Formats: sequence, structure tokens, C-alpha cells
Amino acid sequence: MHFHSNKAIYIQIADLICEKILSGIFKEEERIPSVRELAVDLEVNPNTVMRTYEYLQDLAIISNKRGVGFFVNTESIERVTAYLRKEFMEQELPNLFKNMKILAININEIDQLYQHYLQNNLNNSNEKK
Amino acid sequence: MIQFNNVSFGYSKQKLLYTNINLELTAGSVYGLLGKNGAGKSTLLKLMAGLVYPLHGKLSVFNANPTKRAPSFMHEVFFIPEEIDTPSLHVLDFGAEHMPFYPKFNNEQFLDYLKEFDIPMTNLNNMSFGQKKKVWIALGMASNASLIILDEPTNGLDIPSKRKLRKLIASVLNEDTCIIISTHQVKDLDSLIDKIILVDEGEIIVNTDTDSITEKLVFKLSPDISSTEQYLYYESSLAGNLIVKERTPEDETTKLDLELFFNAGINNKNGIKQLFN
Amino acid sequence: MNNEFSFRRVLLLLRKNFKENGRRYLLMFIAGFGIIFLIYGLLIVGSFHNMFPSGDRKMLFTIGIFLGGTLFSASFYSFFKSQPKTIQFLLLPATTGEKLLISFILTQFVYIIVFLISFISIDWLMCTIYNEFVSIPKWIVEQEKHYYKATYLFNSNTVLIKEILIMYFITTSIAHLGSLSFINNAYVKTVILFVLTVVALIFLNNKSLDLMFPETVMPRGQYFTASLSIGDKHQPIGIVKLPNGWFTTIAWFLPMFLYMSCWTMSYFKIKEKQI
Repeated sequence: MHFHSNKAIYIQIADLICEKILSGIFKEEERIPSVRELAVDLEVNPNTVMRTYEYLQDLAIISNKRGVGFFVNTESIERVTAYLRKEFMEQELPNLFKNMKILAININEIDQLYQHYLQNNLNNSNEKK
Repeated sequence: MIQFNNVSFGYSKQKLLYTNINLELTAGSVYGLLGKNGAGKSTLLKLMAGLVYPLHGKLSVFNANPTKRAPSFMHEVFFIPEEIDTPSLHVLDFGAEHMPFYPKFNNEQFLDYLKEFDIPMTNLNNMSFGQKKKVWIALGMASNASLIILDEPTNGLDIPSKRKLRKLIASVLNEDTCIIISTHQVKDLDSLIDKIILVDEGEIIVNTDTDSITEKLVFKLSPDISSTEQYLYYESSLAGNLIVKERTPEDETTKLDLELFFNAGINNKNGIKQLFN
Repeated sequence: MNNEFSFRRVLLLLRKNFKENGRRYLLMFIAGFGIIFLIYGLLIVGSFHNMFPSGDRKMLFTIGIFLGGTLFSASFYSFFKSQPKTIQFLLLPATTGEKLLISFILTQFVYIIVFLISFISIDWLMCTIYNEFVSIPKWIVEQEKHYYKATYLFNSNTVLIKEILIMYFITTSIAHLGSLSFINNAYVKTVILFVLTVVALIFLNNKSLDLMFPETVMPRGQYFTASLSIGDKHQPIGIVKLPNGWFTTIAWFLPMFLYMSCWTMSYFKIKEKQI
């Protein structure tokens, strides 16, 4: 896995797991990879993954069943969404605003583009069906 | 696990390389030993393995004195030097001749690792330097020694092998193991290292874990340098300024940039030392 | 595994040594065997109308045992040239004594046994061939014909086998110590040091004798003497000798002492080896 430079690795791994939960790859009440499996897969120190799992436990997204492994909690999708929302609002939005200001982009322009994007996405998913 | 108490060492008594160093290494971690060429990285590793003897001070490794070279100590230590040399033997014979000396040696693991590394089942003489090195790494990891010392392990390894080495290290680390890696190519292994020892000119500048580094320092690319802020170190280029500064509670934690941290430690020794000691 | 001496580990080390160096040992053996065989061949070709020379064979035996033995011993630790090999050797989990025992067995037993067996078999073979094919000149009288029958070297009582063996053990031990002490050109350096030491000892012996006794009372020369004459130089009234028992003690003690010190020093050389 390629890590980018602006966030600590353990947070980047936490984000990754959250994305997997949101996209349904890791389902609620199902086991997620063990610390070692994930460490080997991502080529990182197992202690870092351990730290990620502790972090996600604090957020009540996953829990540790002794001797069995780590499981995705029920209702974790809501928590993950809240967590990622918070992250987006606190970290990515300020950056976006900063660039909008520099480039003098009006919020209405953005809104238009966003509506367009939603429309496209809807069409795409309909085609697929 | 490893303890240096006021250890001094030099290849001659007049010219000491290390004077009164104190250092403690604990199990369950991957240590990255960083330093410039000739800073004494290999010497520090050799001290731990009992290949050179301290002139003064006390050095203990698993509560044993490495200079005694007791078999019970040596089967817990596996040292893979930067340059390697292998006898003219079939790779499986090579494993079989070492296996009985290491009580925790696991032959299945050895075969697995060889397969992972794509080692051909042939005589070591027919292998390239990189392949021989991988055989040694496989042997060392399969010995299940508690202390595995790797001196520049990625030298001579091709790109896929470096990746497999990272996976291998991640898979063998446990609470009782200590893996020490000395390296120049920090990028090869930086996501694996969780403790850092930085040496320069015979002194230990930092011995700390990466979490405390990211806790205390911020690494970032900033378009401009403001004169009001205090930087520990920065590098300027057209792309902007790579800066290292002390982290304030408002700052988000950033990913540890080992290269930048290394340069900060070498160029602003006192600043870094004050923060971490 | 415990830290005490383990016979099992010695066997393992021995097996490892043979696996890793077997090819080299085999080549050395073939080369040595070939040289002796060749020289014997030349001797035999030159002797079909002559007596089979025993002096040349003795010389070959002596050179083979000493030169080969010391060369083998002096090159035993030549792998110290390679830092990784030295690290492997030092960190291999076995005691220093066990590691030393490997070179002891190889230089003090294996070499000499292999050499003796191969030499005796070549000698036996060549003597048999000679006896089979020799054509004794017609003018040789019957009483002298037995000179044309080759006897095996070890049947003759003129080979000082005991002395040669003692010398073999001592010189190879010195060469072995040399190989631990010098990383490059161990053989040449050891020989030079050995010659210099012997010369220095002779010189010092002479100097110390000179201090104690006037040169004139040393009847057997000025460098070594075991007896002193009493009275006039030309008409001594008696000779003072060391007691007989002392000679046997010295003859036994000196080689033993040299031998033991070589191996004790070798032990500490390995134990204290740093890289």
C-alpha cells in the first residue's frame, strides 16, 4: 500500500478499513483480518496495525473477541459514516475552501458541478442494472 | 532485552568510536538503525552480537554477556551481514547443515520463505548475490532467533524481493522478537520500523519510537517559510520547503518522513536531542 | 542445548565442515596423491635396471608429511579473509572448544592418517611392481641379488617414524596457530617467524651460557652443550654432565609443552577473535 505523507500511517489504515466497511467488503458482525494478516498484506509493522485496531475500538467501530479476532460492530456503518464525515469536514473541507478562495471559485459553481455529478452517477448505476 | 551501560568501544584504545553510550532495546519491535556512512552502525550491531568486545562498561543481551559466546546465547542471535558468503552447497543441504544448531529452527518455514523469495532449488554457487542474500535471510528468519540483526538487508535485492522482505518481517515479528535493521535506504523499510536509533559521530542522538516522533514533530511541505515560526530543520527546493517543526496541539499528526527526520537529526543534533532525551 | 561440551555438536560441526569443504579436501588429496604417484613413477622407470632407491622415497615421505601437513594446517583458517564467513563461524552456536576440536581432528588425525594410508599403499604398489618387472643385470652375483628386491619403506628400520610423528604434531600445531594469527599469507609469515624465533633462541642460549661459563669449558661447542669440562682446556680432569634423567624429562617435556601451548593459544585466539 502506498501511504501519502500528510497523515500518520495508522490513521490511513483506519481510513482504509472504514472505506471497506462502507463499501460492504467488511460486513457487520464479520471477522476482519488479524493484525498479522493485515500487517503482512500492507507491509507495515504489526504494532502499527495494532494501534489502528485500538483506535477503531475506541471509535466503537470494531471490537475484539478474545481468542477469535476482531469483528465489525453492529451499527458500525453509522459510526463509520460519522467518523469519515468528521474527518472530511475538519480536514479536507478547509483545504478545499482555501483553494476555492485562491482560485475565486463561487460555491454555486461547485453546487452545479455536484448536481451534475450526482445525475451522472445515477445514470451510470441505472445502466448497470 | 539489550542494555548498554556506559559502554565504550574503539578499534584502538586511543581512538574511541563510542564513549560511554547508554542504550536500551526492547523486544517486540523493529528497530531502524540510521546513521551516515562510517558512523559506526555496523560496529554497534557487532557489539550486540558479541563480534566485538566493549572496552569499558557493561553490555547485556537477554541478560547474558555476548562476549562469552555461549551457545545458548548464540542460537538466539542471527546476524546477516551486508556482504555475504556462501559455501558451494545445494540450498537444502545448506539449510540442513545449519538447522541442528538452532533449537527453534523450523524447516517448513525455511522452505516457505525460499519459495516466497523464488529461490531455485539448486547449488548456491549458481545463484546471484541477491539470491544468496535471500537464502541467508530465509535461514535467519526460520531460525526463530529472538534477535535478528540485518545489516543493509535491501542491498542487492530487486524490487519484488524488497516487497517480500517487508512482508516477511511483518510476519515474523512477535512480542519476544527484536529485529534490528541498519539501512541507508530508509524508504525501503520505513513503514516497518517502529523504533528508531540515530547514531552520528559516536553518539546516540535518538532512541525512540516512531509514535513519539510523530507525536512531537510535524513533517510537511510548506510553500513558504515564515520567519515567526520555529523550525528544527528545513530543506528548500522549487517544489516548496520540507519542514520539520515541533508539533503544537493544533497540528494534526503527520506521517513520519524518515529521510527528513534523519537529516534533521544530523544537522540539528541538539534540537532533536533536547526533544527526545 | 546446553553450554557444556557436546559431542553431538562436534559431530555436526564435523559434518558441516566436510560438506562445505569436501570438494577442496578432495582436490588437495588428488593433487598430493598425484604428485607422490608421479615421483614414484619416475623413480620406478629409472630403476628397472637399478636398485630401487630407498633414500629418495624417505625424502619424499618426509617432505610430504611436513610440507603437506603444515600447508594444510596453515590454511585452515584462511576463511578469516572473508568477513561474512568469519561472522558465520564465530556466531555458529557451538562452544569455542568444539570449534577448535574440528581443526584439531582434521590437522592432527585426519591428515596424517590419510597421508600414511595413501603413502603406504603407493609404496606397497610400487615396490610390488618393481619386484615384478625388475631385470637384474647379468653380472650381479647371487649374493648381491637381494639388493634388487625392493622392501616396503615401513619394513625398513631406518625410518625414524616416532621422531617424524612428534615433529609433525609440533610443526602442524605451530602452523595451525599461525593460520589463526595471520589473516594473509599465514604460511609464509609463520615460517619466517618460526625461523627467526629459532635463530633468536640459539643466540640467546649462547649468550646466557657465555655469561655463566667461559667458552673454553664447553666441550661440545658454543651453542649447545650438555656437559662442561673441568680443569685445563687441553687436559681436562673430568666432565660434568646433566643427570641422565634430566635428558629424558627434557626430551619429553619440551615437545609436550610446545604442543600444549600452541593449542591453548589457538583456543584463546578463537575465543578472543573479534571482527
